[in-house]
Amino acid sequence: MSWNLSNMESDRPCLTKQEIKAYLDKTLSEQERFRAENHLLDCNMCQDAIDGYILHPQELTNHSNGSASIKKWISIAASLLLLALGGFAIYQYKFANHSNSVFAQFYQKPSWNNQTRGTESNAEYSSAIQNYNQGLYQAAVPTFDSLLANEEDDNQMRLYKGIAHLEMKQYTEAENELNTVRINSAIYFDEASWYLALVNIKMDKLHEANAYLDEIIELENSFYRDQALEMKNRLQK
Amino acid sequence: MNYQDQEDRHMLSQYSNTEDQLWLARLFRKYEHLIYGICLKYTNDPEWSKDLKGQIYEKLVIKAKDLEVLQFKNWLYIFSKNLCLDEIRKKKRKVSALDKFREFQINTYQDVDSDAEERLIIKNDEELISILMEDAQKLLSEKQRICLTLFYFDRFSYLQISKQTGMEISQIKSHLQNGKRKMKKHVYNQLKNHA
Repeated sequence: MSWNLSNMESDRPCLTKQEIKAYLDKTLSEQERFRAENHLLDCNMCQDAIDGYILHPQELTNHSNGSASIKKWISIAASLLLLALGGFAIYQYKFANHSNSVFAQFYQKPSWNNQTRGTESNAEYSSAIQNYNQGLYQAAVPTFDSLLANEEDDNQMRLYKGIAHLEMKQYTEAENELNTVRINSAIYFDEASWYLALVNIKMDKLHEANAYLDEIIELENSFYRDQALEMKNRLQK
Repeated sequence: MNYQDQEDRHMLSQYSNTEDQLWLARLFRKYEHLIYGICLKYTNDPEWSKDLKGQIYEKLVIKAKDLEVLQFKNWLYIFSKNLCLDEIRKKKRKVSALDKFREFQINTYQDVDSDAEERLIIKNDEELISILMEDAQKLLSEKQRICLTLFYFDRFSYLQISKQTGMEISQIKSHLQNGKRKMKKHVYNQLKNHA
């Protein structure tokens, strides 16, 4: 048994709301629980927040803490009610066509222009970008995986990996990657939410797509806000 | 500086340069759930906490324009906590020495370059650090050693350590934090002396 300093260093960012809930519900894996508790030893902010949520655990299940959330869930409930009234069979037929048409109108694959990177994995990184931009997703994804194994915090790369999965119609994988970006990166939050809305449209999960669009719409200065409003209107037609 | 701090600094400097609240909103959103949790802890009142969270953002709009800190998260934590405590104090209409101290704490907030330790440690080889760690563990109290061993070697949770040792969870956290700090400080000081 020997003491290892690197084991003691916290290797993770602050806990997300979902992670705090999972920690308090004791549903984290043993490894995740260890990493969370090790982080808590060094982070007063997370520790105080957890103390607060222990007093009011119901606040973790509220999707937002403001009045906007009420509007959001009323809107989602209204969408669902409308869908229910429309009848399932009609919905199935019409929605499939309609959602494909909405997707086609709003989806545009983003190009990846960032070529700057000064590490030894530069060549691998460039090849991933090149393959992605050329539409060679089968080749790009394994390279993304290999690079992300070493740099799991590279949210930009994970975002493009999610889009590559979307292009390959691997919607569940796309959803997982984009959700990770959305949780971990404030910079790519809007982008991840926008593409998650599109992925959910493809998966015929209209209410989830609407929820993501509502979150973008709540952000007054979001780059995607106007598009989100327009897409939401189109979806409701 | 870790990835999270870099991301925070990027958003903060974008906000300072452009005064575009998009950047501040993104930065705030990253910590919003933690700020709300802090408010809940100190006020024990969800409705009041929502108001306080809003107040913190409003004050940040002004403060963050000229804010130059290495670790925004630490600054934000102290700022949020103190705002909560100030509001509680206002409600109770009492001014105590503790409040004066808190005011002093945020006014004299010192940014800590915690990476200085990390850089020094990275520069040195693992074997030397391992020897120094062995040396450092001799400085631990018995309770600190038990807690650190169960946590880092046996990967026990706080709760499991509590069941095993009969100590309160708050005591366990304190032993872990103090023991860890003591060992790191010892290694850092020894490396610094040898540098």
